[in-house]
Amino acid sequence: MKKYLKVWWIFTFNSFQSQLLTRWAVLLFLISKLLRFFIFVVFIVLLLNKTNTLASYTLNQTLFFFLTFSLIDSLVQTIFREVYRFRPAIINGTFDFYLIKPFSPLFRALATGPDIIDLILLVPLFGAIVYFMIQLNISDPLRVGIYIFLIFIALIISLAFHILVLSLAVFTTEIDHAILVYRDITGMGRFPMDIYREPLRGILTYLLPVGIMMSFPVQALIGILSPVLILYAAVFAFILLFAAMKVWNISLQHYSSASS
Amino acid sequence: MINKYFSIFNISWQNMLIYRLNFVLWRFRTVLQFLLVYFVWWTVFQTQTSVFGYTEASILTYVLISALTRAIVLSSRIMDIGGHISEGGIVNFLVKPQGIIGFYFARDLADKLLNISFVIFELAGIYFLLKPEIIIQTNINILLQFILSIVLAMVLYFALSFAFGLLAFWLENIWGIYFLFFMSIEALGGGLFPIDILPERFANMILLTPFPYLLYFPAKVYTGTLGYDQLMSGFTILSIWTVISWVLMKRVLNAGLRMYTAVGH
Repeated sequence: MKKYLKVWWIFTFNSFQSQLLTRWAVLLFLISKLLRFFIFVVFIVLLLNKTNTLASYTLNQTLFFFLTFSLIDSLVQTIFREVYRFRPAIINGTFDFYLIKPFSPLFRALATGPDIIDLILLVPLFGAIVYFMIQLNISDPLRVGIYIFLIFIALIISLAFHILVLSLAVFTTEIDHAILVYRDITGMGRFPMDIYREPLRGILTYLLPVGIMMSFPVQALIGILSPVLILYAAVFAFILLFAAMKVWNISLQHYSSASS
Repeated sequence: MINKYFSIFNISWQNMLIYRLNFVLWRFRTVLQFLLVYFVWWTVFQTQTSVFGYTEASILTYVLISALTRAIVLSSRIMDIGGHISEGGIVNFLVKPQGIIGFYFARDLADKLLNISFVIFELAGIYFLLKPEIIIQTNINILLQFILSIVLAMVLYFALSFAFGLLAFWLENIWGIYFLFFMSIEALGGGLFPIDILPERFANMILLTPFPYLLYFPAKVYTGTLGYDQLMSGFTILSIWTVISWVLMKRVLNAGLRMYTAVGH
């Protein structure tokens, strides 16, 4: 564990240094992400000022759904950014070098290129989350605890999806944006799952499972999620992670180096 | 002359068909993005009959047509130019009897045609599955105006993207600029909501930029809800931006090629 922390820190330091080589590009990315975030907030505020509710959620609740989505999305982007660089590593054969290093190739492919831009964005996001918790009169420590637990579950599910994307890149080089498909699927969680019509709502909530990742934490926080669904979320996450690990191991057995 | 660019079009088309699964997944992504916007508006109209002056039919028509417009206008491979410059591939255009602009334009047309052929099936599928109440435009004049707005928007997007991509002649990393450009289109283009739901002052300011003319304006033209003055001012601003962008693109290209030095094999 200590070795992995040390390796992670070295890679993280190098990754941040590399990103900061073009500071103006980091600034442009940051401005762009803030612009996207801001326009969604403006849209929600304008819309809810007219309609008062969206799928029976108030303005503050709807904003909290969006903030929670943004928090989970930024956390995932910060931690698992290296996944975006994995397919080129397979194509040009760099993955061979991952395999001969004395630490897990999965760790190398997943977590060794954190994104400094999303890390910066996390700071105001945490502030906004706390602010809206106060606005929503959330003071029950149990609900806050379950909210944090479900965000952890969302990260586990996301980890499983990222492992599946890595495995897919080993199996086939035909798909060059599988990770963006994951992002677009989870992007449907910017708003509560209740906006979708059945059967799409059920598929998104329980199978894909955008609802578990993005909506369950907020629903638990405002006290409308049953304990059974909290248990379902936890069991689902760990089964998915277990399955993803199996698929990753199988994909490694199928790997044939491209470098030669 | 035409044969040369038709061959580029043909090769690009076949090239895209090699990675079919990749393309299908790309289209799947755009359907997901569409569903989010569609269902937000659909939910709003479960409890309202009119919001921001839009009825359910007019807003869902706007959402569907802006999705179609997105597939036509924004489907492009022009961003490859940055990589071609920084990796030296641009040298090919200096030694071969083909124009750079013509080459990328022919490639873009192939990309657009493939996207259009998919989006028609997607929208038809969505229409039959969700059965939204939408406006089917039958006025020939409006349909002609819609086609004109789409053509101008295509040229505008091509020229703007190309000009941004050409900055690779001077900059090592152009992805920050591209990302800001794409996010500006996402935020100010009208893909998430029609620009006219914003407070009038902000909407008028945004309408002076090129972004709303890529999605919002063509979709509004189709709905037939723009008055004569709005239509005229819209087409005027769109035309001015298209000309400015085209001239800018040509100047940046000439300036870039003048200072470009190739090294290597």
